[in-house]
Amino acid sequence: MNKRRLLKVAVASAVPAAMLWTAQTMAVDVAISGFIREEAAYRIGQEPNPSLRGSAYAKGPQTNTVRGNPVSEATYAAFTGQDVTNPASWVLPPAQFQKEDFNNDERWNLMATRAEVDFNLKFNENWTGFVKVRGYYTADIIDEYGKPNNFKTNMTGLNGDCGNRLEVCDRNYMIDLPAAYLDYNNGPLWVRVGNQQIAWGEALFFRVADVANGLDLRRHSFLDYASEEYADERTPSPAIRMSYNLTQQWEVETFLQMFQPTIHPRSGSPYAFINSPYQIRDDIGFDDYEDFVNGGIRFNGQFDQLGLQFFMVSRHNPDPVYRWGAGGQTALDPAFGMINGQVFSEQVFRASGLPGSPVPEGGGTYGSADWMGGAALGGLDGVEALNVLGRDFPFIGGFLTNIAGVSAMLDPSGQGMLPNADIANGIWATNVQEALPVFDMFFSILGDLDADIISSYPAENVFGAGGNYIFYAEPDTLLDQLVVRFEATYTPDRKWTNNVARDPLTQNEWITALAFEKYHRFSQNYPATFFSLQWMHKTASDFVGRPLSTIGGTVTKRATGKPKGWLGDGWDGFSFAFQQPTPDLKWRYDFSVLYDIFGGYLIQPAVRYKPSAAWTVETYATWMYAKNTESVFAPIEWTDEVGMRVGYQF
Amino acid sequence: MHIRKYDFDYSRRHFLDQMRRGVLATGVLAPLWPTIARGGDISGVYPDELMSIEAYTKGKIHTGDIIDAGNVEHVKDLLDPIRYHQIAQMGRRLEIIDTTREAMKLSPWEYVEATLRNQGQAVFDADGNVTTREGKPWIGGNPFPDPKTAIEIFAGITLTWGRRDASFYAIKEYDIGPQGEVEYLYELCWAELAPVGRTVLEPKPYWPGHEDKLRYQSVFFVKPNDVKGTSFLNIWPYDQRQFPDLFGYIPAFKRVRRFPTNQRFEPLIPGSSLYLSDAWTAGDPFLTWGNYAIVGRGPTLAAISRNWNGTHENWEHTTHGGPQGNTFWDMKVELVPEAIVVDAEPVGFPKAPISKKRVWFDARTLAPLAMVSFDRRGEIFRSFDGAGSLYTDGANTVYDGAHPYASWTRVHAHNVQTNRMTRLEQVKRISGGYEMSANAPDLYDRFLTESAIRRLGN
Repeated sequence: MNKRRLLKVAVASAVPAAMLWTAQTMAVDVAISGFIREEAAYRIGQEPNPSLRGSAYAKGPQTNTVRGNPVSEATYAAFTGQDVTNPASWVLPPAQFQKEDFNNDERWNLMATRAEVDFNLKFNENWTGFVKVRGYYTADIIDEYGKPNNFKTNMTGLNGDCGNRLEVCDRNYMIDLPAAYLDYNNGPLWVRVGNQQIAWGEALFFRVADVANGLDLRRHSFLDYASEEYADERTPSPAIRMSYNLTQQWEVETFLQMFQPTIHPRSGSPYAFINSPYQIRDDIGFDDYEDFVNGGIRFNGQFDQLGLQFFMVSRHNPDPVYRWGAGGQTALDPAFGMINGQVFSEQVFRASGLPGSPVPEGGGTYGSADWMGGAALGGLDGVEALNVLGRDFPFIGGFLTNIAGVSAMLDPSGQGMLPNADIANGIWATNVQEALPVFDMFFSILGDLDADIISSYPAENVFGAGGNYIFYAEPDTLLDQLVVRFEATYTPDRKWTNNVARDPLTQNEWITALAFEKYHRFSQNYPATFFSLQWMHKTASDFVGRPLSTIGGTVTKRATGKPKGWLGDGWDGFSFAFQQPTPDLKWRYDFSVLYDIFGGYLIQPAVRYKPSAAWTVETYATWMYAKNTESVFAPIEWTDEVGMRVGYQF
Repeated sequence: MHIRKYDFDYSRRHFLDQMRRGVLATGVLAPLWPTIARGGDISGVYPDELMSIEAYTKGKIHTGDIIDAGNVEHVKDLLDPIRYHQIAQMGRRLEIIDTTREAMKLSPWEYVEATLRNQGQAVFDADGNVTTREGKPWIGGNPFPDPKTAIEIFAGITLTWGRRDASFYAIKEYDIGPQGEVEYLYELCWAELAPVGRTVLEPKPYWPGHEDKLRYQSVFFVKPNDVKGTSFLNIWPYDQRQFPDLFGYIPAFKRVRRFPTNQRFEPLIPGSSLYLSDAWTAGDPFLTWGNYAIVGRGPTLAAISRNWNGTHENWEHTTHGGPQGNTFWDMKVELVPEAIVVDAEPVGFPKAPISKKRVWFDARTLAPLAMVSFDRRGEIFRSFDGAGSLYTDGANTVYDGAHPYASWTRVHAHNVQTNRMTRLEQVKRISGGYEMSANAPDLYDRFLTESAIRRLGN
């Protein structure tokens, strides 16, 4: 561990260390509780995760569009050093790329053991503390070119190889402290110092005001029991949080928190949603941001039936913006020489299976269909992504320019493969017909490819407001005690992944949520049924943060951008949920639906059984549907599963 | 020779005659409340048959006896139907002690003082709320110590549950299934604070700026792990036509959210037989209930004194009865000379599972002794009975200031239709170091704000 990391770990560990020391040296009330739980999920859908095993989106023979086109065949011959004047002598690439199918049809998505132990400490009436230790072990239920890495991220942690600052991990387990803080309370003042999660807002599942923390999706993605919202996912981080009751009506709350980003499922792990040939390098990305501090302030007010909140958060967005990283595969530098001032290893791609590539041969993206399909699932414009590569990597830009020039020379009409290129402005391909043979040229020359994507976390200011109001009507009628909640945020100049370009996409964004909640008794014999209906509207990105302007592509179509939403522009989603407990609350039946206006839904029925204080059994089924790649569910549509959790608490 | 001035059935005839005439005047031989006001001793207010279990049972039961299935018939008329059933059929036992004669030992001292000081000043305003004659919120103590109507009795208990400006109870809850197993064990805290009608905490009688509130009350759970941190904050408007504001911290959501508050007839946690509506038998604003009626008068058996177990370091209590010997608390009961039985119906809750509740109040204190509720078919549904005490046993005393702490010690909530029992006991301390306290001046900031339940939620 280097000195810098040692210092950071020491800072992050200061609060728990102080608590341990204090607990040992003075009279402290310590209450210990916890649970151990087996968690399993079994896939009931037909398709496996397409983001595993070398882009399983495309399998078997894939058309090589270099073939059958005299100009592209001639260009290929030229680039491979063949005699362009003698077509009969050309050794052309295969007419079809053979995309190997590594799918083993494993059915278990999750097989894990979770243990959590809580320590509640009371030092005196003013000082208390809380430490939660979370341990999570997952069995090796899939095998993608060897044992999968579920947790190691090389971002931070006690050994520097994990995702959170107070975490130790290996590829199949993680142990962390999602909470380790001290509370000081004196009159209207409350201060919380230490590792903690911060959740703002009242909308459930729709994250509008819930902007303080990112999400750690390494365990069960966000596919847990829907009624638990993001309790297990919010990433904790060292923070100082303060609250002060200004008056009976108004409270001010503020926080300063060390930046901690969202952590996506690791490539090759069961719930990965980034195509497996592309390695998430948030270890590189995080290095530039780990010293930053996010801050926010919020005013909460309550006036009879009306509750209000106003807040502002200045932060680095924990949700990553991705850009390509240099591939670093030096093995091919001599073969390609210098192009546009760069060698092969300075551009993005690696030839899979060759030295310097972490991906075995056949595990990379192979063929234009594979490329376009993977891009579409990821919410990217596969055609524009080609131009991005050319602009951000002179090596590729030079290569593309050469293709444009050489193919034009070899084309009797003079147009070549990229007839509409505006090279001065960094545009080579303008439509999918132009892009496909170019991609296939790459794949024909290099074979299957893999690459790194590097995360960044741009700064932004989020301004928000919200309110709630309870309506009263005749007792026990449908409108009686109906709770209406509204939240809105405005973020100027928010940044998104821009087809993996170095320069992110920038746009102002409004996010709003309107929620109706109701407890309604249908019978005198059963407790009230809880209903929740929510509507979310986003003006620039969808539910999972994909910019609307780059979604909608297919294998044969570049992204067309957002279709019309419910209100015209923007993304709209609706959620509906209900919970019905039995009279003794031993059983509870849940049902949740998330509907994407662009054509998709998630449905999750669930049953919770609590036969005794110690045992809890929960089971649920999750179904997803995506009409096309415009739907937020497209990358995870495969995740139809039945889950079960059996927990014992002490 | 001792000449009995009144024959054995005099008191019975007295109560029946008053019921027939629709008159409520507490006391039999003398008016009750003026006697209490003169010195607190109720000797002379009731005839011997109402002050002595021996006299009432004509020697069949004596002080020190145990009431059980073998002798319960002798006191059947002194028990509500569910307690009778529990003793006759389920192995419940009650130990008989002598009747407490000093009224000051039955309620918090300052509460009784305020009741005496402020008597005669309470009226109902046009909306049905209790105010002073000047139209201001109530100023402390029982507003109607010498009640004439049923709603006056319910107004008194609803206005101040714990009879103290600030109460913090450390509670253990045991939920017992039909087979007698303790299926669930919870540890929780209950905090309540009066912003009006204050008798001890300054400023009094009102907390400036909070005069439109009747009560701040929170409940939060500290054990077991899956409910730990679950917290609810009720803010009661003074206007009893309105429901409290309810805020909740649910650990899964990691934040405080506002909840509707009309679901008051279902347990908060799995396995429990206790409803929010059950609190002090008056858990809802009293104007959301209606058809209050006095339906009975007469003596009863209740655990109202000497029921604190100071010999246990954490004030925990022993049990007996039921299939596993742990369904009922061991309790000491005494003959309460006069109970007022009141019926009320949940007119503001059309879909409530109960059709009415029947509550027994001690005429001396107007504190609830027991409650039985009926389902919509009119069948007996649930019962609620408890034990109260001064927290002193001679050797050990807990003070709430200058005087011994007077409070509840144990509660039964029994669903007789499912035969599930919830037992509560007030203990000294529970997990996390939370300790009982009385009239703590900082209760509001520690437990009764949104930020407080957010902090408690972990």
